[in-house]
Amino acid sequence: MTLITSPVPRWRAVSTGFVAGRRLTVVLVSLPMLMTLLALFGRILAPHDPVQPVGGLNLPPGSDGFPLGTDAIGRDLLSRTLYGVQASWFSALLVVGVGLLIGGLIGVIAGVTGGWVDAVLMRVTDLFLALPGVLVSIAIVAALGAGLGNTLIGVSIVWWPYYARILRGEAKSIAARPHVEAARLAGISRPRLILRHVLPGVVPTAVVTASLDVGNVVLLLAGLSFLGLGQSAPAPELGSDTARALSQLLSEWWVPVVPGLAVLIVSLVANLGGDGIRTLVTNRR
Amino acid sequence: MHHMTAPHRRRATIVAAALVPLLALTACTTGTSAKTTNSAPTDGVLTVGLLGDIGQPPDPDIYYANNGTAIIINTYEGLVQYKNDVSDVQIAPRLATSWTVSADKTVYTFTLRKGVTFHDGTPFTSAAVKVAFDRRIAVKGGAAYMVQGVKSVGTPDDLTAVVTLDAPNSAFLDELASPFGPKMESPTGLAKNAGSDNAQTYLMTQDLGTGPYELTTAQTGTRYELTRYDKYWGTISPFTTIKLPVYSDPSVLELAFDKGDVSMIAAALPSSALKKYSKTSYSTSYFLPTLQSALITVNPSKSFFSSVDARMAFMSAIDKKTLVKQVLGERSEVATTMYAKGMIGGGADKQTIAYDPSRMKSFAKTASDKKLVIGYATGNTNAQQIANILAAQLIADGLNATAETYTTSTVFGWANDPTTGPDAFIDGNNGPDGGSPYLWGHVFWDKTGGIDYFLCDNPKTDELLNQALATGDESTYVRAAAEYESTGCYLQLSYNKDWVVAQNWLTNVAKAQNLGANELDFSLLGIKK
Amino acid sequence: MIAFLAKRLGITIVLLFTLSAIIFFLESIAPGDPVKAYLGANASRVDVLAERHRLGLDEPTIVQFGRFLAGLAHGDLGVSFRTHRAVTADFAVYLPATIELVVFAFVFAILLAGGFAFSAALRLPGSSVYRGILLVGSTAPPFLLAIFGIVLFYQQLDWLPASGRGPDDAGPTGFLVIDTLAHADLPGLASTFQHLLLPGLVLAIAPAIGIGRILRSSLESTLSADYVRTARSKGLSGGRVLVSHVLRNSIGPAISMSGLQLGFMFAGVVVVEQVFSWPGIGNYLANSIPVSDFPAIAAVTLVLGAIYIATNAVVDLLQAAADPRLVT
Repeated sequence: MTLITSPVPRWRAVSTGFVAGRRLTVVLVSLPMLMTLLALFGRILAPHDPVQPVGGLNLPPGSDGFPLGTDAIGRDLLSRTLYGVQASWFSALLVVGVGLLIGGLIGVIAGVTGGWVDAVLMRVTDLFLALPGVLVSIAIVAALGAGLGNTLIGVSIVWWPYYARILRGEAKSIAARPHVEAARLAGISRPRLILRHVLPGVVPTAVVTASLDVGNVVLLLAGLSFLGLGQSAPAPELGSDTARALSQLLSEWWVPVVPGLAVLIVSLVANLGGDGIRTLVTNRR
Repeated sequence: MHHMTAPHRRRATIVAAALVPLLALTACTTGTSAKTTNSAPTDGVLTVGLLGDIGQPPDPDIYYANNGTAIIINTYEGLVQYKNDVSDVQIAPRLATSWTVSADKTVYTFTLRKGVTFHDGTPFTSAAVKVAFDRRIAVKGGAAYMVQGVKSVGTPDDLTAVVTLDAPNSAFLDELASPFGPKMESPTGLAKNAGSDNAQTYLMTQDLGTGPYELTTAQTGTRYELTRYDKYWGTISPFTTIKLPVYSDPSVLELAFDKGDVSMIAAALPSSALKKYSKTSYSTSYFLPTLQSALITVNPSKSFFSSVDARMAFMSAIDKKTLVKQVLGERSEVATTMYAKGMIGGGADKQTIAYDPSRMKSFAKTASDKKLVIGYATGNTNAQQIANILAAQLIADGLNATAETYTTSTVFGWANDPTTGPDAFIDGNNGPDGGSPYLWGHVFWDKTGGIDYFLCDNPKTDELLNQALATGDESTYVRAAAEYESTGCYLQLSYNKDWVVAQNWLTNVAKAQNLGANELDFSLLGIKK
Repeated sequence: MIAFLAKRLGITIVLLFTLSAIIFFLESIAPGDPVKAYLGANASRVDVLAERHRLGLDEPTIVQFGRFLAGLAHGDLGVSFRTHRAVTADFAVYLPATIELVVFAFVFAILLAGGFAFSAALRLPGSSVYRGILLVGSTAPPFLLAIFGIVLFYQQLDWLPASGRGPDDAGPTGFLVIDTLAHADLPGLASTFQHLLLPGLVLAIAPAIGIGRILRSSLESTLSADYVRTARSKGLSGGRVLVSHVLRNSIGPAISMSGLQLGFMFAGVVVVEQVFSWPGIGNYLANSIPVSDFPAIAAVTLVLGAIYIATNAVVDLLQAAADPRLVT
């Protein structure tokens, strides 16, 4: 770096290396962990039963005893939000986890094996990518009954192909690296090859992709609530609570906006956390 | 290298800063009442916002849904209609100026209006009556049943039509007055554009009626447009064009109305908007009579409600007064009768189930099955709130109650197998085809009727209803209702009104509405001078 | 190349066949009776059963599937229960509207993503404000974002319209940008763009972040790569290095992500079309699902599936062109 003596153009500064402030990275990475703690224990902080009407109807935020106001049937919005974070956050983690597991497995096998296995697996992936998630969810809910769990199954079915497509590319390029090639020639079995050599290389991309994806799933579940696919009322869930109260947006804005902002914050936390993890992983590499 | 931290830290603060305008914007959404009035149109255009598409083609022999009635009743006319601007069921003249009914309710003789022309220029005569009835049968729409009992249509002269029925039918005039009832269509036009489908394709985008307006644009899901028919026999409207743009989101429709881009919204906004429009200075709210109601039905095919006891306990747990006040507001009043308001003279068809939450509380303790699902139709926010309130109440009683939303096709699929449905269903707004008690009882209570969602049936009710149809005898209708109430399947929660929000400059709104149509006769509306 | 295309086309047909079979299976387990959409809500039980029979809905799923395929072979997608029109006729109106919106939004997304990636990788001063707004926008629930956009630009500022596509379409293509140009209707063209702007922006934000992040990552790693330093030290100008070395070598992952995001946009268009009353297939689908308008749902699914599969094929082609080593 010291070789460069001419005035450095702004963009050039990047090539001096990319080590972000460690402290900030730590803060960013800890955000999702804090959110997990909030999801686990947030309900202890809830002042009221989230299901039962406890106050006046549509009280604005800042009302006595109801810091975030109440909804159309008099339930405390703060309590509903604290409980709702749990449903939304863990749902998103679950869908992303399942997607990562199935998609990762298929992507890595396809990428490493190549040939017709790759072609078949990727076309199956294309097929699932093309499936309309809403229709799948409706059918699943019809077959298994309404409820958040069944909706999550439906969403997971259409969610993994995304990971399969991304991780297959990564696995392919790793498999082409000289040391993996050498191991293959040495006669190491394929499962061993994948476990020992390819998987460790794929993990960083997988983690980064997944962490950035949590927010998407929270938003997707919010969208599905429009069709009544999601948490059964009257139990709280951020997406459903936003979608179901949307008609009040112009009259009592806080009823949809409080859970909506919570969705935004959950999603933002996941995104910033993902950024932090990305920085961390990039620096380790 | 420490200088690299700066952008990162900055980003964190920027993200926080970006949240602020979003919040500020949120606050703006409520501060809309800055302007005092929107000005009246000078180009003769009335813009009526539709929420969602009309759902079916605007063909009078097919259309059997909701908001598209506005197009049907302004382009076509029937022989009779419900009287405008009154709150009880009265038949009024339209294309027939007078009529007589034989004592046995089988022969209906109509004297037709002179000087009426169809939009294709041909004159309206008695020959059109039979043609219209025949087309209705041929097209096989949902409301074809109304003319299925017609044996013959005699035409002694151009302005007299004699309709003879197979069997006595005291509800026939009500069927003719219904917005879904048979409308007069140009026989010449029908023949010319028949194609292979009785002119169904032609009538998707045009009309062959006699009404005050012609259908000039029909872009499904986007917009419809009506143009004044200048040779109309009745009142010539100040509005030369009616624009009916389709909005898919209620909030956006509201915003368009607030800005003055939409002149009027009929029966489309949720009750949550009532409070806002009671305060706005640029608009006026009208609450007009209808035959519509909010209803609660339970599913006797589910184990929880297999006994009459369970059903009665549930119905007694419903606090009609509080629900109507909390959820439905000014557009509804507590229902006290079994049929729609004003169908039976003096309200003799009283509902007798009284509010008594203790019954459900004690029943819940002994119930072996604690799981209970209360359903409502997707998008019906009033029903959603009622379902949530009831579920919360039942949870407090110790049951595992949930409120679930169902798409309309799912709701209608329950009749194929009621065990697939929820335990109870909240119907936020529904109504009969016409003002006869038969049209109410048959459709809601008889399993062959159409909206008896869970096929809860009492054969005695069906028999009494059929008897009453032949004679029109009110006391028989009252007995049929009492029989049905004993099933515990049905509760009428409220009488709903048609809530119309209009810009201040629009006049004669109440005069343009009748309780059967739920939509306005645009030709009768005026502009404030 | 021709062999690749032929193989891909063959596979696509098999995929679409399988997709339609799956849709029929899903539909057969989904609840709901579409007949009331056809006849009307109050239609009697007798009429409903008769109509079910007439429409062939009481036949086994496999028979209905066979009929669907036979129709498909003749380019016939059936008749919508709701609109009573041939689904292909409905598509002629709604599909161009959606494609126009998505293409517009996609271009928007690429521009926003480029701005996001370059401003971050090059540390342009003040650009973090732009990235912050984009990031928050992308994490907001799309329906809230859309309504806020309408409140701000339609209600408060009165700059942009809030619903519909603008001028009536005078044909022949159904794409208003092309049709207004064909009729030399400049005010119509301006109105078309005005109507595209807000829904396009709302639709573009989330994909923009998705693509922008990937591009930024690869830009950053390319910028620090040895050959870029070499090129710099050889005295090549900043702009030339950026285009001929950095961008070319960073674009691969971004193309892959763009393909996925383009597919997602066609699915995500439903909410945006609803809020903006956009007469496209998203709205068509949203209106069809609640009433189980099966021919319409099946057709939309097939068309969206075909678009997905075609997009992925194009992505594979583009990647092969950008980096021949990846061809198997």
